[in-house]
Amino acid sequence: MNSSIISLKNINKCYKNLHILKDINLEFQAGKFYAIMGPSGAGKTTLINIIGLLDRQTSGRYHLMEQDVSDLNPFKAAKIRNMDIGFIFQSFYLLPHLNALENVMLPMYLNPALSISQMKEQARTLLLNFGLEDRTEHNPSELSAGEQQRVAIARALANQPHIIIADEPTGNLDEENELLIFQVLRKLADEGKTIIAVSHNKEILKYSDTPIYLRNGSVGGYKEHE
Amino acid sequence: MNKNISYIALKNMSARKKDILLSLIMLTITGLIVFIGFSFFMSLDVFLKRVVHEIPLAKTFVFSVNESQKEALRTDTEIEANLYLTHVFGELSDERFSKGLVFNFYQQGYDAFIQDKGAQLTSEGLLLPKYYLPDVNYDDNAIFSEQPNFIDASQFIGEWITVNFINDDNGKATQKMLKITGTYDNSLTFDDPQQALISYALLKEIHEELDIQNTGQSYYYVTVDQYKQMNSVHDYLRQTLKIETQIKPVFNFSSLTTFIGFSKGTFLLIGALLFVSCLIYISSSTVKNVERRTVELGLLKVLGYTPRQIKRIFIMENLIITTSAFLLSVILYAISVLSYNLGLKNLIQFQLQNIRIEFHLFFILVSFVFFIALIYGISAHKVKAIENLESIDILKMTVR
Repeated sequence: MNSSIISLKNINKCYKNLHILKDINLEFQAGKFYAIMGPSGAGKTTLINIIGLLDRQTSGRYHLMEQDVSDLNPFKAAKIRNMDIGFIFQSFYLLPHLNALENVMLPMYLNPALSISQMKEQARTLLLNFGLEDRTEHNPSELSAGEQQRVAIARALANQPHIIIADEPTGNLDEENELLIFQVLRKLADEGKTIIAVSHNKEILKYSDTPIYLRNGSVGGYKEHE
Repeated sequence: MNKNISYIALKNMSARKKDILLSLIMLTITGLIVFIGFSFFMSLDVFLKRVVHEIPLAKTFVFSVNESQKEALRTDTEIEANLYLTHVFGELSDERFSKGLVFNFYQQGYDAFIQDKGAQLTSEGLLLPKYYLPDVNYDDNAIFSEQPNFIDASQFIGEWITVNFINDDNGKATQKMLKITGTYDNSLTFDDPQQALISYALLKEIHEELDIQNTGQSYYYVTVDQYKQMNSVHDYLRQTLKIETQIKPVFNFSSLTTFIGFSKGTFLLIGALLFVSCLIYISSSTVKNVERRTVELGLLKVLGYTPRQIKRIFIMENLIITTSAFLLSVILYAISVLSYNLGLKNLIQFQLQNIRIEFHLFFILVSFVFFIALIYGISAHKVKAIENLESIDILKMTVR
């Protein structure tokens, strides 16, 4: 069995009087596609915020790539987010004034190892991989929803992170693009990335390795596909 | 890393050309309004002082002399020769001003002559100013009791009159008879009727004032040709006649002084209000600019930008825009001031150096420091306020 890339032990999250996550214990393996599902208010987004170091648990321990990141300071957390975690959102969040290439380059600017020309080259390659080679100079408003989400995925992969976190990545897409995005995520998992996707769409189950069901802040089901 | 932060800031700016251009234009106009407004209000004060108050007054002042000084003054022809005095009105009984058409020319060296009463010496004879106030009217009290009656000097053309040539070295005069051969247009000089009327009214006022005082001193009224010459006259009287304390520039006879004092305060107040309004505008536009980009801020945080890096990007962008707008404002301000002053110089007929808008460099520097500090402070404060929110909350806030 592979060692866990993410390990959550007894994670609790409280906000004011609400107990949003209750004793979450989860292990995530490298190269697997996890689908987090559950009704609204189950704590899915809070869970991925904690995994993505965007939020901090009230109690419990969180190990990321064998490093205890439970009490990481904001600067180190930011660095890990930049280098090791890629984010994909339902609303894409591409900066409207930048073109596709520049949007993809956005996380790369913080990588001191890359020159601007290297960044451009890598971003171009990423867009090429997603069939967007002729869209590099287009602004988001000139792209279809599916294309925008592919640009957002390319941006998530900009610094070649180990983990991709996707929050309802197909929420704003039509069926055709939905499948396309799931296929892309599946492919990324096969290439060794850990994919953690929140979705209401049951179609994701066909592509994921492990569904995780959350209900009232607790893990209600967690099993790997045979 | 810093290089990349600058790159992002510049990239953001070049990608948001329309927004940037709009901000640039608005800030430039704001800066220009502040600078020109400030200069205008400052200069208006000076302008009022000069035009309404000082021009007529500055040209005329009074000084008193004792007997020995009077004698020195009477014999020292350099007063007129060196100080370009157009007229020296001595005591009203001074014979030089009660004898009809008499002209004095003061000789310096072999052939240089300083004219008297605007008369010009030519090889053919004399040229008189067209608007002429003949000395015949200047009898003992008439000058202060009658309106000056300017006459067209053309009527004297062809007449022969007495001319005194006074030697600069020994003060002795030789008399010659010369023919008046023509006139020249003096309407744009101090001797034009309107200017002379102002002087006349003032002289009358001064005379009445001094009559009341009745100090037993002899009073001389000096009218200089140009405002700046007043200082030369002062200097000369101080150095040569040692009568510094008795020189009495005619500044206290006009109630306009009080008005101008109030005006100055009002102008400064308006200038200050204008400045504050512009600062408020710049502040609010900076706040709006940061708020409008809340999603960008949240996204950058998600992508791993630290608060400091985000702050730096926003501040750098705002500083670049503000500095550019500031420089543009200063350039436009300089051009405006220069054009205005040049235009003014061509428009105004009297020779005054001081009626112009000043280029207030110190004010510009102070404004620059204010603007930059303001932009820096507000950007930093606003970014910090937003960045205290969780990134996901920021993004969720704006989900369409």
